Amino acid sequence: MKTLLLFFIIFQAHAASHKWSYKGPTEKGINPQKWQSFLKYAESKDSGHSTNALFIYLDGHVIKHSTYNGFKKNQPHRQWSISKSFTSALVGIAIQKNIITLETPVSKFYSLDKNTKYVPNLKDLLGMSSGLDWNEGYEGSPLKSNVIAMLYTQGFKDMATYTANRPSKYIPGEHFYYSSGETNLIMGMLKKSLGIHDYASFPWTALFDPLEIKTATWEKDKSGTFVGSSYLYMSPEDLAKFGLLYLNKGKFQGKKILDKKWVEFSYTLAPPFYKMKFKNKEKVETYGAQWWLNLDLPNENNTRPYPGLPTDAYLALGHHGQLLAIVPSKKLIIVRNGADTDKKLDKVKFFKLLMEALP
Amino acid sequence: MKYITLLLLFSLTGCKFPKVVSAFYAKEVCSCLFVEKQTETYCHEYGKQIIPIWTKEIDLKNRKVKAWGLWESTEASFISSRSGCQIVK
Repeated sequence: MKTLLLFFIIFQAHAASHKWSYKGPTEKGINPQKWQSFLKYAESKDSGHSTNALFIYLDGHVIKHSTYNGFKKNQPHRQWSISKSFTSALVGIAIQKNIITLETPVSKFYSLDKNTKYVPNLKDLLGMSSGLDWNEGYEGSPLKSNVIAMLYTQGFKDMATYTANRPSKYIPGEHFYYSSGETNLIMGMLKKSLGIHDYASFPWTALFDPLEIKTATWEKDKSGTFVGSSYLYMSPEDLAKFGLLYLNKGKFQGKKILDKKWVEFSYTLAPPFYKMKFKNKEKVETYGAQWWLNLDLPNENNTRPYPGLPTDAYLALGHHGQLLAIVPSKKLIIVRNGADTDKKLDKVKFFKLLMEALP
Repeated sequence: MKYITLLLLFSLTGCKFPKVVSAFYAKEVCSCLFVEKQTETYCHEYGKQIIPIWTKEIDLKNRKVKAWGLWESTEASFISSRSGCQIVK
């Protein structure tokens, strides 16, 4: 009887573990010449960028899982700002558990600059529209950059507090400005809502363990807040599992992890895009709730950043060429990790060549 | 001479930028070596910036990286497999 029970437990554990199904590109009806053109661009170093991994999933099967430059398949890779979309997922789960709401004001947990006229809430932060003054420059403008100051100098001990103390510049919800500080403020609010003990294990209990993500490291600042903006590491395959969760509208292995409504909210155009006036409307990168979108601007045509990708695509993008793209209409997940320290990957070209090859 | 001009500029403006040179190198090389488990050569290349560091100390046994640049030093240390690296001083 004991043996039977043990067998049953082992069988259950085995049945529950996720396994990818693989098929060759030709079996999936992919154009071989166009597929080679895509790979030539994506894999080659001749173009100046440096691809470390590619993982592509199409309608039930992995069609590409390769690593380059000595990088191993199960090696954790830095994901930079892809971390932001994981932060969004954690917020979604916390909302499901009634721990926090979209309307929770920042001021419930953090003192704002004394001259601040407006109080942003969690929804404003998710849509990068807190109105707090910020400079997201990296190597190009290191002296003025708030993100560099936050990560390495004035802010590294407590990044949420550093961000909350920035002066307000716009009415919350009315002006989009991509700010890593806002994501870390979200993470700080999550920490204070959950309490430091539950918070420390929350990414694992709520997300990584149910997704069978085994390679994750999420670095914290000195105050114990996860650096939600930038410091998540995992293997490309584990990142694809997160993509599969969203492709399946919040379910993984048939089990609900995220509300379908949260997934839909994640790729809904953030409110400021209906209010802002754009001088140059070409290739405006639209945004949802810590996810980049490929939507045209409201009442405009062909302003989307990646003309080769369908408009329902949504993306998590990170420094040095990290990308996770989900294309529901094609049942497609694209993962690319890289170290583009010299020349950036041309994402427009990358997506165009890939989509031309697919059936 | 260029370093003296830079020092004067940073002192007069109260700019914290000099710390970035060592902090970026120490933190990102620590993560590169002990989280990503890349090679020392790869990580050193990854940590390179426009303004180079002056010197570095990599302690593989205790998983620490210390860097010096523009009169500032920073030490980053590996905390745990879940928490990765952090700037400690």
